[in-house]
Amino acid sequence: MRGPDEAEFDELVAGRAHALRRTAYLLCGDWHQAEDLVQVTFMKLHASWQRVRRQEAFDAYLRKTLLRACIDEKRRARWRREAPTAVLPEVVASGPEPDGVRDVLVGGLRQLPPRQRATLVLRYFEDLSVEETARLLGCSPGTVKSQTSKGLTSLRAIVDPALLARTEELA
Amino acid sequence: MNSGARMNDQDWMHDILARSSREPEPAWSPDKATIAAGGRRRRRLRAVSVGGGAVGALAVTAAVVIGLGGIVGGASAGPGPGTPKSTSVFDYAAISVSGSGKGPSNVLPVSAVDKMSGLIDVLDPAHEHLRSMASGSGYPLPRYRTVADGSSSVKDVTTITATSVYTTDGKVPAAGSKAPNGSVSIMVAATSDQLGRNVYNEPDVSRDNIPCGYALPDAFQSTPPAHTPHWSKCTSTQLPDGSKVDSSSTPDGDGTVSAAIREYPNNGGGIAVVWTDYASWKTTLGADVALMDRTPDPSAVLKPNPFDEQELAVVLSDPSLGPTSKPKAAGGGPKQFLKTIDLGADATYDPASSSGGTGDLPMDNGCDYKDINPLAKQGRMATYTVTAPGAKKVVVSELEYPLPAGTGPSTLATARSQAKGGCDQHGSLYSKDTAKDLPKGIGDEAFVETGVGTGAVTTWMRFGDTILRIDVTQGQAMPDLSAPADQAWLVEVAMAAAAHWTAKD
Repeated sequence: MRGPDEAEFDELVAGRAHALRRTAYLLCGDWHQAEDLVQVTFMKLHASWQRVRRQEAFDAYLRKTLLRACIDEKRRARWRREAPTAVLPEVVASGPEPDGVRDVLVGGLRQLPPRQRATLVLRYFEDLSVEETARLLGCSPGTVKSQTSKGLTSLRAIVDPALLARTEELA
Repeated sequence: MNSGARMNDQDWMHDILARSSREPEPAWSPDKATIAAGGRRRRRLRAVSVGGGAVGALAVTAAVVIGLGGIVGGASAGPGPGTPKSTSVFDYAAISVSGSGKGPSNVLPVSAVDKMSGLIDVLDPAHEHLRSMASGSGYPLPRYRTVADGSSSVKDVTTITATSVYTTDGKVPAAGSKAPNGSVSIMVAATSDQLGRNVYNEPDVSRDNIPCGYALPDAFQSTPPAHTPHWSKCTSTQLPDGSKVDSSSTPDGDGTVSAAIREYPNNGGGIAVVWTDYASWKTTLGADVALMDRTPDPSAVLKPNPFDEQELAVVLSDPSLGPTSKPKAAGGGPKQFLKTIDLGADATYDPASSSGGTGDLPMDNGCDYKDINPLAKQGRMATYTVTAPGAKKVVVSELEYPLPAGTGPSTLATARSQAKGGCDQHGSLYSKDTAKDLPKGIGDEAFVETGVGTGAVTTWMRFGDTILRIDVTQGQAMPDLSAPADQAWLVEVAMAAAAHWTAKD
């Protein structure tokens, strides 16, 4: 099976990589992990180039693969967390205050259940419709609507308006 | 912005995302070499594990080539619904694409490419005059791909503009050349609004740089509007296919700007041509501020003017440039799933909707029930759009949930119990949810849930340990399917879905 034409593939990577990294960051909350996930996503696209190109579905493929990569990463992380240890880890000091709206937003998103977080990112950051989001998440449009409503309400309750205002002052 | 408390949740979310997107990000560039190496490795591994030998590999390659649309700019164009009849627009014009998506598109609908190429072939049949300034720029030219109309990859494209310089000798003018030449912009718009129609609510009236009431924003990006326009009276012709062709022209010093616009009926978009018979700072003269405010130098005007507005109007009236019928999605639904005919005469099935699958069976009534039910394996899904009998345009999603052996009856019982009301939360009125049994004979059992909380009308059907679910939604709104005709339609759809699923057709 042939790989992609290099110039065409490079153009696609250049055009989509940064937007994908932003999506990945909102989903996982870590820039380095987001970059790794985007790299993995493009590797998978490279490997499946002919099939995806035939379907004219680059964006849908990239989003779906990125979502799966995030989920796989979380599973691996959970597995790693559950490794037994004889010594209790040191208590990690709470991090510094967020220095931007994005930090506040990502901090809030991380406290949402994964499905709600993904729903909000796809609906409001990726601007996908209810139906497109349902398709990507493998659920019904009704579920997307209810998860959106719950997720928004929860996120708004989590995000501290005073913290948001402080980040604005800093900006 | 500190008015978060006054905003509704959706505006608040958009606002916070917009603000966060303005913040700087850590610098990063994707490692293309690693991506390519990783991709090749994955492909090799897959090839080794699949096996099958050379015959299988050849068969796959052949299928891929046939399935591609036209590829322009380096690769060959194979036959197929996405292949253009002529590539003149790529050979003799510079293209710009506007869209509602996040960035410029390099994928174009084939009908637009055919129309633009067809126009170039008529205006310059021997290809002696029209040239792309981009071809002389020394920069690598963008690569475009054409696909069949209706492909999801071009759904966000709103306008495509092709611009050529008209030369007397067929040579691409050097930057700064003061030799007389002209410029033509061809603009294809997906909707009439994108032609800039009725900007000042004065149809068919020419004023400023709005010939015949069309602002033609993208066309005038590439070719200069007149400095002090005096547009001629707009000439308007109605065509048998419902299109209307308007034309007008204005002098600009010794030169002339001519425009012809064909608008398709039912906000179906259109095609416009703007022709300027003089060299301008937008084409060859360079961005000299002194030139921009001046009418063209007589020495830069083509004599005679090769095209006038009447000729452009006649060219645009050709039947080949008429409205493109919107293609219905191919196929009528996946195997065992609903067919479009089951839903209504105007129903369409979106094949891309079946690329994913169900991962678990969520139930949601706002109360603290276990709301995620694992599946024995991934199920299939499909999405259709149709106008329900009560004239509401709705989206119908069919979802299949293969449950672990022996859990089908109890899971549907839970779904039924949850559907009969729920716990209101976050403004979602789950307490108003209702469930109504469907007639016997639709699977092992079936009922309709009017899910006020989830904003969907859902038909639940059980076939042994598989649950089939049909969700009817209407954007963010709750579809009102309470009318008798809509209720009867829901039952008919459920019966059809059950028939297809059990017959495995």
